[in-house]
Amino acid sequence: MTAKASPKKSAGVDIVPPEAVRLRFPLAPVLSRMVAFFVDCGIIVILMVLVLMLAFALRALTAVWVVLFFVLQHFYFTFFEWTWNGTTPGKRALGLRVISLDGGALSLEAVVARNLMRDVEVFGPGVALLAPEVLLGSDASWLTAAGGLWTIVIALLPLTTAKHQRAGDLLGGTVVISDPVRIPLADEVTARTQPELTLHFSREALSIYGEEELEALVEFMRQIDAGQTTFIDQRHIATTIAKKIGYAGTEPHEAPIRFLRSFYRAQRSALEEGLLYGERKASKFAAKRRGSAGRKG
Amino acid sequence: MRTVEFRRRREADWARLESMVDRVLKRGLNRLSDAELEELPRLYRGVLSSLSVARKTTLDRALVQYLEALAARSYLAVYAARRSRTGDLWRALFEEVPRRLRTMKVDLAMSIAITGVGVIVAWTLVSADPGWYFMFVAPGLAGDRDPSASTEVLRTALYEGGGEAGLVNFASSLFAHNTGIALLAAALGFAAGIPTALLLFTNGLMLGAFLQLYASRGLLFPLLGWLLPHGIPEIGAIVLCGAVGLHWGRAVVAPGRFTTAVALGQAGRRGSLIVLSCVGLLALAGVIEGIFRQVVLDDRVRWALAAFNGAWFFLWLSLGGRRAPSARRDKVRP
Repeated sequence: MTAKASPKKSAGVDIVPPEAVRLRFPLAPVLSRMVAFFVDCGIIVILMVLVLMLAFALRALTAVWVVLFFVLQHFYFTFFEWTWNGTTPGKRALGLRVISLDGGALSLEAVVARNLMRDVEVFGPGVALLAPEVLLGSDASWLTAAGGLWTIVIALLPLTTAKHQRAGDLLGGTVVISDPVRIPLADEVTARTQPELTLHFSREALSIYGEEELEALVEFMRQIDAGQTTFIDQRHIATTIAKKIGYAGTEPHEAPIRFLRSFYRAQRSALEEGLLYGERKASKFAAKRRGSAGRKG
Repeated sequence: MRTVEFRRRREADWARLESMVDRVLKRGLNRLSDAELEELPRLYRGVLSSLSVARKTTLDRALVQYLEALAARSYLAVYAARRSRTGDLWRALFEEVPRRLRTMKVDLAMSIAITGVGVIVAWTLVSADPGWYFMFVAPGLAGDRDPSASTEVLRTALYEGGGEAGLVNFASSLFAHNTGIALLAAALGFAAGIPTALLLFTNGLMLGAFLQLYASRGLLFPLLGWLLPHGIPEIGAIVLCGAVGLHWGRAVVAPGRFTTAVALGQAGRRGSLIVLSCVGLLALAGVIEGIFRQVVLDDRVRWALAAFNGAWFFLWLSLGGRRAPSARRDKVRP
């Protein structure tokens, strides 16, 4: 990771696969998960209606649709998360996915475990509050209250755990992420630098700026390549840099692009060489730091 | 520049991996040709190592972000859910489940003990005062089988058959109902195991009251013939699910040297296969209870099936998954 850590956009979770390189995935927002759940419930209801219609049309035994209803209600999520690599139709619609926290593939046990709790989380509150005798076998109002309170605690787990895990996620050791977005590879900024036109910079000149400024320079150079800058801007930036590093020469004023490209290439080489020795310079205000090379993987 | 060279040499591989990963994430691994399937893990590992190197040696942030995204997506593509063959699944249920249950002896013992205590308590109370019966057995379940019924009514209740079509429906609704309760017994273990314990206890109460009622009229033997053939898999499944629930409860309350989240994750995955096998047991129980019991009215046949069920259930739990001693010896030999 570069020294200036990219600002944390959404909360993320770090997974370490067996190859021991840390990967970061964005956590799925709780609201998206609720919507996906409702979509899945809607699909289950539609499937149940279809099953019912088919059963009546074919005059099938009641047993057939009772069993199919049971399978749909309890194994819909398990089936899809198992065969569709951690997604269900509802989750797919919202770009969500279930992954295992231990970095390996999602196992059947994890999928079954995380879906067993759904009955309790969704139907539990209803049962505990409306029909406690199903659970307790007798009327006991304080037990009802305790049961209701407990199911509310369980239902609120996604908001209180660090990784937005609901009770089922805790049992299965899983977490729900948003699918990572595809990022296209930007052009290599130094590609347009012709070697014979590069300028020479002294070591002192290259030890002024740090990684932050380099990043800003790259942004500017991308704008140049896209044709979004004027000659005045380019000259302004080039002369500012030349003044700061004490560069004596006319290139910043006359051929700012050539100056900027050379400077970028030279500065980046210098800073990257420092990286190999474990030295990092975050910005022009920071002193050069000897950090451990293994910091933050 | 070194890092520019680094990127130039690998760009083609990354582009190829990107297109493969796109296809896999949309449609699954089937969309890749055999040659691509062979290449995928190599490219994936290559990207991960490039990412690791790029994080430490390059200041091209755009490159690092690109590699992070590519690595994350390839991980999702490569580590798809493990699809085991059907044979492996059966083997898991037959061998792995009893093995795990044997490691959960404490929870099993608690589950059996709680149920047993329920039976004993109900038995004692109902034999002292039959009025307790109505406390323990829900009227819907009892029907007209309560202390006010005559012995003849109770006896005939054990031998009534049912219409043919109705039997299968009866079986399936029993299966759905009982499995729902068993799954709940396991899932409720999350609440520190207390609702699970209560569920097991009330189950035991109901059983004890019922047993006592029939025993007091001298009908215990026929009743057990009526109850045990399906009761062994059914009550067995509820006890097993209760054990899993208690195991999860213990992970919540006493996670040991792990954090609660980690302990729960391990306990959850350990117990879920067991719950899955209980669904199978309850399907069997539903068939026996719904069909066999209504059709076969002879006590001796019923007892034979009960004995058979008890035998394989007990043997499965105690011997399932144990390796033969000679096989173990072979493993030690280099």
